[in-house]
Amino acid sequence: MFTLAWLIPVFPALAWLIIGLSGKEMQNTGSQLAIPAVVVSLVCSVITLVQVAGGAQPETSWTWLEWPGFAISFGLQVDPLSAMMLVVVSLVSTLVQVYSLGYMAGDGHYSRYYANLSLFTAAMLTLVMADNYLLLLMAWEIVGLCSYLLIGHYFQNSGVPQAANKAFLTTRVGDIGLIIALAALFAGTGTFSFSEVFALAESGGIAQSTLVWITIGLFLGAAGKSAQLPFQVWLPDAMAGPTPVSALIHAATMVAAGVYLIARSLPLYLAVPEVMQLIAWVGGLTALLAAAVGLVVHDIKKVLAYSTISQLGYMMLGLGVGAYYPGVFHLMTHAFFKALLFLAAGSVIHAVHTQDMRRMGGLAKRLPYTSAAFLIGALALAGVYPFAGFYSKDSILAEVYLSGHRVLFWLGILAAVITAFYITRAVVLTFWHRPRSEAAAEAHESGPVMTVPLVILSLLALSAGWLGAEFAGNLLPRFLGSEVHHTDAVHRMVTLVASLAAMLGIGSALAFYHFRWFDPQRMAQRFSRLHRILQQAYGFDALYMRVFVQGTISLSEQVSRFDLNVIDKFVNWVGSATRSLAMGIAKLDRVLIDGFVVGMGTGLDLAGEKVRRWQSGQIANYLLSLVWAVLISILTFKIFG
Amino acid sequence: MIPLSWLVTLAGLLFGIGLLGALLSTNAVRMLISIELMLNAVNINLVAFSRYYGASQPHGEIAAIFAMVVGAAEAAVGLAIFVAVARNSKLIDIDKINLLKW
Amino acid sequence: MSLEQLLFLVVAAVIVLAALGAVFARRIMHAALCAVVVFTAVGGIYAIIGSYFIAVAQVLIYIGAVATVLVFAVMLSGQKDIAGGSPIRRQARWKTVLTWAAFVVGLVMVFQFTLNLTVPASGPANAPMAAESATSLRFLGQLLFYDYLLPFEVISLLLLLVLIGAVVIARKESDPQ
Repeated sequence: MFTLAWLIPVFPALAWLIIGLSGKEMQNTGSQLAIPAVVVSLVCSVITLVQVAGGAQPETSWTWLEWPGFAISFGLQVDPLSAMMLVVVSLVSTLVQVYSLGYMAGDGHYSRYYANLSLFTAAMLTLVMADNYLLLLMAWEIVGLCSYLLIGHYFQNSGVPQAANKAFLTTRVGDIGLIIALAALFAGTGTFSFSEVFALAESGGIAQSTLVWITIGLFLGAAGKSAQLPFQVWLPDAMAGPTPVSALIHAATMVAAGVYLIARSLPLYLAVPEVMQLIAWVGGLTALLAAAVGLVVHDIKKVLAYSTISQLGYMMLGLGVGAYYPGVFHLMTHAFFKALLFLAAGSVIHAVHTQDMRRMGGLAKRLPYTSAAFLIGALALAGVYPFAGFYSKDSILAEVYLSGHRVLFWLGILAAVITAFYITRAVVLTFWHRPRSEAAAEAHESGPVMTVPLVILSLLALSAGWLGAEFAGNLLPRFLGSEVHHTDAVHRMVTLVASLAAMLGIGSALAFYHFRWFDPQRMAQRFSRLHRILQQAYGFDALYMRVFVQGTISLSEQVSRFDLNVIDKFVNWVGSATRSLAMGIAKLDRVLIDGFVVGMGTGLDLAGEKVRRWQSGQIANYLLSLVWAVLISILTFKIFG
Repeated sequence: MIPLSWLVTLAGLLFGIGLLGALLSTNAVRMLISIELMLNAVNINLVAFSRYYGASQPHGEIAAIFAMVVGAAEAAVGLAIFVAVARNSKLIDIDKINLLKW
Repeated sequence: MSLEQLLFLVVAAVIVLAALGAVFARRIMHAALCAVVVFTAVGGIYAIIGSYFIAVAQVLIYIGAVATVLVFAVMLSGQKDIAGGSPIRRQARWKTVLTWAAFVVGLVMVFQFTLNLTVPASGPANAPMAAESATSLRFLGQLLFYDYLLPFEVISLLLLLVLIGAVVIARKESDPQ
């Protein structure tokens, strides 16, 4: 079977290598290499998707490390999930890179930006194709690194390096769980390969306690990456990066890697229902709490960031109740409509040079394409028929209802109401009514490099949901090999409830912000305590700052004091002791050894001065010496002979 | 029949006289003569022991023949050296010849 | 005391006296002549103990070659003898004599060693000299040309070298012209 699969990550990786190594040579031309590379990857991904749909299972594997008894392979495999992820990642990456041509034009670190995007794309593609946990971990860490680098793209601005550090370190905490999981996995099974591990898990070949360690560890890693409770703090700060980066990494792909990891490892989770309960609850709570924060923030990107956290919570909720296909489905639709929302928001920010929604307004006329795109994204996010979010969110909620978790179901519905509310608020505040600043009044639509990706993503946000719809023949579930087992009655009920929830959210938001029947300010004052809690995002940041950051700093101070007072003193003492010892030895050297050497020279000199007198040139003297020599020989012979 | 001790004594006396001459002489030719006397003393010893200890295997006599040849050669070279030195420096007093000095 | 022994004593006395003369004679010419006497007498000693070949060789080499060379040496160098007359050097005389005395002591020690040797039965005392000398010469010839062939050839080479060397050293250096 002819496969292009292994080529998919190679092109962006090459682009990264060349752009990264050429430095100033490609100061402003990085995109000319990065975009063709990612387009080639997209084409290969689509071809691979078609092949997989035709029943192929492309696999490529190289042995990477070998010990007696086992080997670690550097293997890529493409199954339906991978194939879908490949297309999503390369498609969004392509659109974002094209969009960035306009958004990043004139940036001082243009090529570095494209190099990092290429590396991210390569690593993300490798991540979804890895056939074992170790390679997945490597790609996982590389995408984390790229996230750090791209969040810190504007590192000259204050607060940006801190945001990058926060993102990196917070996910790192989760990654510790991932590493523990891998260690437990290897200790328990002796392999990293997905297929072997899942076969063992299904046959009950892994001890239950080991399985708990593995699943919890994997979930910690996934929660860190996907910004689930209690790791959600980094994602809003990550909005310090360029907006296209937020669209690609912090909405569509990298944050979804956690969901992908859980989806991929679902066979393991099915063996430990308790951990699945945990995932479902964490997901459900995250979905609700993050959505609630979205109600009060004024920064358009932060609204979208909290929305992302909330939607990822939905996916986790779905996976937590064992709903593989709905979780993955929502991952895909979310990738499209959230990337669309971010890119549209980026277009707005590009036009008005602010992220504060209070300084926007009335942009619908000035930015027709952008506002249309944002509106489509918002409808998809709110779950309005027939947009993408409607299908995927409904299928998740239906599965939750079917699994019997009534509390979680109502949490999800509540979150859906809030979601519809905050995104409607964002639309109204940004695009409707009159401009509230001069910049907003004089905004201009961006060029086609930015609007064309918006149009394409709009079409996807509109239509991606149809892949899972009955009238399209349940294309996606069949592709993923997952049967849809909700009954029509339940489905209809859930659809009705969810649509009502969306309508409720949209309607009340319009009542508050469009028709002004109620005053949001007064509401905030009446529920001032709740408002403050939401504005502080439940105080996680303050808590972490006090416990972890301050704790680390004071620990560092203690250690530093110890270092100064004990270790440095010891080192200094060793140094001075060595020095005085060396001086003693030097003195010894000068007096004794030098004396000996010089004395030897002088002695030989003097002796030579005396001995040379014997060489008198008088033959008789030589003869005399000879005679004495003979005499001494005779005497010696006489005595010892 | 001559006792071996007589021969050895004679050789010793001749060697001693030659040595004394070699040590005391200031004249190069006389030193040469003295050395020849010592060589003769050695030859007497060689021949005597050869006669008295191995008449059928006269290794000593062979040695004496070689010694004679060496003595003759030495005399010839010595003469040549003295002639050359005398021509160059008009000196034959070996105490004043110190070309070999340090 | 046999006639042979008497003859030996006479010849030995001649040797010692002539040797003393060679060392202490005032005139270098006299010394050379005394040396010739010593060489001849030593040849006599060889004859007395029955080594006739060596005796002949002694006469041929020492009288024929060495003595001639010595006389030549005297002729070429010593037309005027040492100023002051004495052949004995003045400086360091006592040191020299002391050394000589010590050497004599050494010789006495060697003699002591020698006198303790016993003469084996195959010595000339037990064999008629005339009858034995022919076989002795044959042994000598065999030994020289079989066992000592290599030293023999080497010594001939040495003689050639000496011949050339003596000529080169003694040659009057010609003027560059």
